[in-house]
Amino acid sequence: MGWCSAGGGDAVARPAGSGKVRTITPALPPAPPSRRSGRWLARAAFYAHLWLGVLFTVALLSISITGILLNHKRELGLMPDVNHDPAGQFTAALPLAVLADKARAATSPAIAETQIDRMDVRPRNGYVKVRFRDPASTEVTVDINGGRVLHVGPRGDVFLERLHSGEAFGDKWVLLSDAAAIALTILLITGYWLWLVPKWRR
Amino acid sequence: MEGSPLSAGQFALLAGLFGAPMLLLWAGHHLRRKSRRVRGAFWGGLAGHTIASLIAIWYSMVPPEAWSASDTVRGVGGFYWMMVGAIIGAAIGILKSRNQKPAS
Repeated sequence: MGWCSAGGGDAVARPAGSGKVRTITPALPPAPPSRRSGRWLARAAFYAHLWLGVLFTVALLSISITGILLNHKRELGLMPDVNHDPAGQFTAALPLAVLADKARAATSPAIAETQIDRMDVRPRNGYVKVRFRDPASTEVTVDINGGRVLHVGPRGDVFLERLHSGEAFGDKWVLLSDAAAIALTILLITGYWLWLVPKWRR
Repeated sequence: MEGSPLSAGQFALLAGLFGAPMLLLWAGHHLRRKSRRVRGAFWGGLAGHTIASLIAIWYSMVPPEAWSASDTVRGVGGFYWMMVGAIIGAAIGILKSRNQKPAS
């Protein structure tokens, strides 16, 4: 008579010469509750790690790549690096409306027709960044005291930021980025669980 | 965009992003016990989806100022390709598994 053990600790009898398999009473006492719950947790952790890892691979890969590109946006030329010292006191700066007009005049008529998205005033550098709502997110850097245009160019990092957050596909798509972040957190926890818990049990 | 239903491109993107990997996981569970056709579909689909995902990520990084009104390649690459790549890969895998001789 040949013997082999089954997964749950039951003994399985396989009589020689016959193909029949019959289960007999467990040879070992049932595992204590703590060990059983630990096994269940390990199983849940394994499947959570597997499913979330596979389902969020592409989303996390995209978020990671855009994150790296955004970290190095200056070096990659995605945003302008304008070196400028203030030409006067901040109190003597031109009004925002005048600076906006100067920026409009520095762009093409098609861009000037679009709305201004934001005006980022930098008193320490003595300039204001005027960003338009065109597809390229064109930005004009204007000296706040003299009104001189220092730089005109697209902001490549705006689209990458929107892709990073998921907003590039629509306003509600930030939920995708949220889901990926939650998945990553669960992946970290389950990964550590699967790695360390078996070592502690030994 | 606010409150608008999912467009066909967005639906294809979600199907490629989550639907295809979910089906691959289902097909890959106890793979050795599955039929030759399912195994072929799994490996073909996995290869197709992996290649398509890299293409989709590449196209998604193209900045908007580089887009043109007649730019269908970018739309197909970014939105549809992950789903289509997995389907094409799975179909090739099934066809290849049919032509293979059974293991002796």
